[in-house]
Amino acid sequence: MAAAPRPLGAVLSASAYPLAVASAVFIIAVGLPSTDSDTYWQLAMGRWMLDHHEFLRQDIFSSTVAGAHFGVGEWLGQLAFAGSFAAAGWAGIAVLRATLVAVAAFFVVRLARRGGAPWWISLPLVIAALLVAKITWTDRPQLFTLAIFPALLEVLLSLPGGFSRRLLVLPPLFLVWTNLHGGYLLGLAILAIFATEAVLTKGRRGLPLVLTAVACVAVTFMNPAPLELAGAAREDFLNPPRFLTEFLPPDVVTPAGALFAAFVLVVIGSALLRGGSLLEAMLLAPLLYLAFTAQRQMLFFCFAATAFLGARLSGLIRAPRPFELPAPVRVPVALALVIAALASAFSAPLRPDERAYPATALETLRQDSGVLLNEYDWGGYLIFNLPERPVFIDGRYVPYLGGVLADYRALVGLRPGWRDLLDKYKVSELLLRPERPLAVALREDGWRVRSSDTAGRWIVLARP
Amino acid sequence: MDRSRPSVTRAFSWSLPLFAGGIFGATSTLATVGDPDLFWHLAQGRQTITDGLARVDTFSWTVNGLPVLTDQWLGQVIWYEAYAALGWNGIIVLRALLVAAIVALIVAAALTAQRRPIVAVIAALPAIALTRYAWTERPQLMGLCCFAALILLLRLSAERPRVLMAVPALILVWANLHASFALGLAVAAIACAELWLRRPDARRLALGVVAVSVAVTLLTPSGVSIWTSASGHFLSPPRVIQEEGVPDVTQPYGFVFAFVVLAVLVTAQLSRPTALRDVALLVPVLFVSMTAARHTPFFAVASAPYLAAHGPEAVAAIAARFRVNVRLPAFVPRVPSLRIDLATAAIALAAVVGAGLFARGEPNLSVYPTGALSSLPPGPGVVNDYDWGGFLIWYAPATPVFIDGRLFPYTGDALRDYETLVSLGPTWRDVVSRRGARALLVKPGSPVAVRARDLRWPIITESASYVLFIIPNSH
Repeated sequence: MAAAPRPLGAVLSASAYPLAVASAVFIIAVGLPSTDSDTYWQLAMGRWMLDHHEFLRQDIFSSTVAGAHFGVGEWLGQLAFAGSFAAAGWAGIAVLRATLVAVAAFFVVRLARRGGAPWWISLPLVIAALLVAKITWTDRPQLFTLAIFPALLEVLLSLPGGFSRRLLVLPPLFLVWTNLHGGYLLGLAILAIFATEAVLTKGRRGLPLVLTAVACVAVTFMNPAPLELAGAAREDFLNPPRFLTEFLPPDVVTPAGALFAAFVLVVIGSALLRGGSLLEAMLLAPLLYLAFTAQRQMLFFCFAATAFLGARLSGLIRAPRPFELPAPVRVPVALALVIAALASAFSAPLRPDERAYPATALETLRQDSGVLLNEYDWGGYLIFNLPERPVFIDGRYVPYLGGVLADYRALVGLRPGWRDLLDKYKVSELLLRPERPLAVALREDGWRVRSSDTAGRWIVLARP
Repeated sequence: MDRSRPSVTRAFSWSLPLFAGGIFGATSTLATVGDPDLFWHLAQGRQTITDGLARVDTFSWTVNGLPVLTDQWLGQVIWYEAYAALGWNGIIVLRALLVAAIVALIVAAALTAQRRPIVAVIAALPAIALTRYAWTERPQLMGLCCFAALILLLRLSAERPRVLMAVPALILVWANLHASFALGLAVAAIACAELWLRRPDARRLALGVVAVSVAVTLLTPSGVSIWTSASGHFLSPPRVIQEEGVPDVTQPYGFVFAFVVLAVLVTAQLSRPTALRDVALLVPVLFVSMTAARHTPFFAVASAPYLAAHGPEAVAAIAARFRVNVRLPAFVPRVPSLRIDLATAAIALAAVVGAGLFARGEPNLSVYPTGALSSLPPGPGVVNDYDWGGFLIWYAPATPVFIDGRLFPYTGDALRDYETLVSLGPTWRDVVSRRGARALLVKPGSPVAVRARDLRWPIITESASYVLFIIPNSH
């Protein structure tokens, strides 16, 4: 017998807490200016595809790998960001970001509330998990994974044994996800874990989930470049580029690392005291390993851990008189926060935070046309703001693995053979941080200082 | 009294731990000597024995006369005495003995939690594997040995709290060996706090052990400042040093560490709940292990008894889900007699010492600039690579170093100037002139070496791994 639909009041009351938190998170996230260097090249790619109505399959932005084949696996995510930018400029980007972070917050709250965890246990868990995830609140397609991952967990954890209509949600979800961001591979892995656990614990009643998982795998091939995304993800996992901060291993003496460590310790400590389940072990162990590989992966372990910690901590820590807001108060508070969140969208920043970029160097760079050697971190910014000067390298990373990245590092680090590399690429101008050994050496060798930042953040040098 | 059947009543035997220790200790002698920090530890040990404990630097020309840490004085003296007695083979023998002791203590702790020897050894293997990366000729190996001993003491104290009375003595020795004593003190304090809660009749003992343990840490030449080194490493690990870096699971040691953490996580999920004292021990040690690569063995050592006790249950739970019939060895062998223990100890000791004496004693200096030693100008003014500082202190005492692996004395201007120089920072020429540098002994691939070659600075000697420049216009 199908369950009777719940009245709107009951649904609102049950969702008031997640809605309130999601709204509060939206208000915070929408006020942050865009800062990430990769946002720029993602926008540039999306903008090109919008303008040309076709996939961008080869590099058009660099001087070093121009014309080389380039993966377009995240085309839909790039279009979403470019569309938001086209609609409302940088404010549109902020609203899209805040929406996705709020969606993540909504589902993380629901995960943390599983098992009836009270707010005073689930809320700190949610806040901690979102703070760990804060380093990925960057305006890139990975934000879609940030939002979809907890939603997927919520769906999978709420599945009954056997067939459920909720299973029908999964293939379309994966179809969209696979075109948004490479994080769908993690989703497939999670799905496989749930399917395996379902078969192990429920026998034949687990088969519908297995069949759904197979369907989900099938739809992920409905992508312009499915294997390229998988290859990039494999490279990130097995050989993470440690020179990028987000790919460094978790560092527990940083705030995000300390919070992540707290999650690990609480998960293990509480499991030692209370035990757990096969599903929890199968889910958290691989996610913990993934988190150990790079800081940007920490959030997945933390999000998943909230689903189990809330209930377990409730059993370990008993409050004498648990306090919950009554429904007549809860719903109006949540609605007020939703309205405030909608209103806060109008206060979204209209410009990105460019303090980390050589904004004032652009005018100088426009006056020349030779090969420019630029900082890795500034490549995306130049692609977006100075399209007439192809970059040497940028945050797309993968196209440069064939040798350009190694040459770039040898050049700016003044490694043996740097002069040959300078000639090989016919570099006529460079835009680097002044403390780079190459910049120091070339200044001594008489390269002209065409422009420099008064705060010492960048310098433009040209051949004498 | 029947002396022929004491083994029947014995509950614990050291035979297996000693056997395992002997094997791993003897095997460790296959590794040659060559840790970059060994050489300055030896030099400090020699200085302590011949001239007394030096409280200021005498090896460098950049921080000469400034205070240095004395927190490892006893460890340095022991390493030097081993060298003085048997040359480089003495170093190998001492290292092998420490490895054997660490392995024996890990296996013994696992055996206290699991009477089936095979299971105990399997549970101890990840910890032994992870300590492999700490089998270096430095006082930190002694610190790891003390930690393994503390874990065993804490295991034994679960049933006999009076065992904790040995902790202050251990801490006293440890505090004079290596700064990792701070972790031991914290762990002991947590164990005592748990005892306080669990056993009201043992509260006086618990309080006394903590108080005396804290007090004995002051019985070192460093006094209160003994805590400076420990807190400095813990609160602000110098990430530029590889072993102080964040644990990296893409490296072999990091993979083993992750394996241990995941093994504990999965075991905790799938086995019966454990006692609060295990949680109180494992959780803080895990945090410490996550702070730096060099700390990773601590968690592995601490978790071996837990894995030994609970691991089989988790394995059985997983196997049952997969409908696999796993039959773990159920027999509990007869505990060997004391005589067998003593015989095993003698054989293990002979194997370790014998292997150490016959091992290749000469250190592996292939990564050091040995060919440059005869060309080094005496006196101050040589800028050397950080990794070679200890080597130069030992092999070129007439040429004081710019920097070496002691690190902390250099924190501040000297370290900053060194980094500016080798990475060719914008003010590198200022540093050269301000410091009065006369020569440059660095790796050929370093930016400053590449630049010096560009500038055609005279090269006195070079190889694929080093180059020695004379700095023009220097005095």
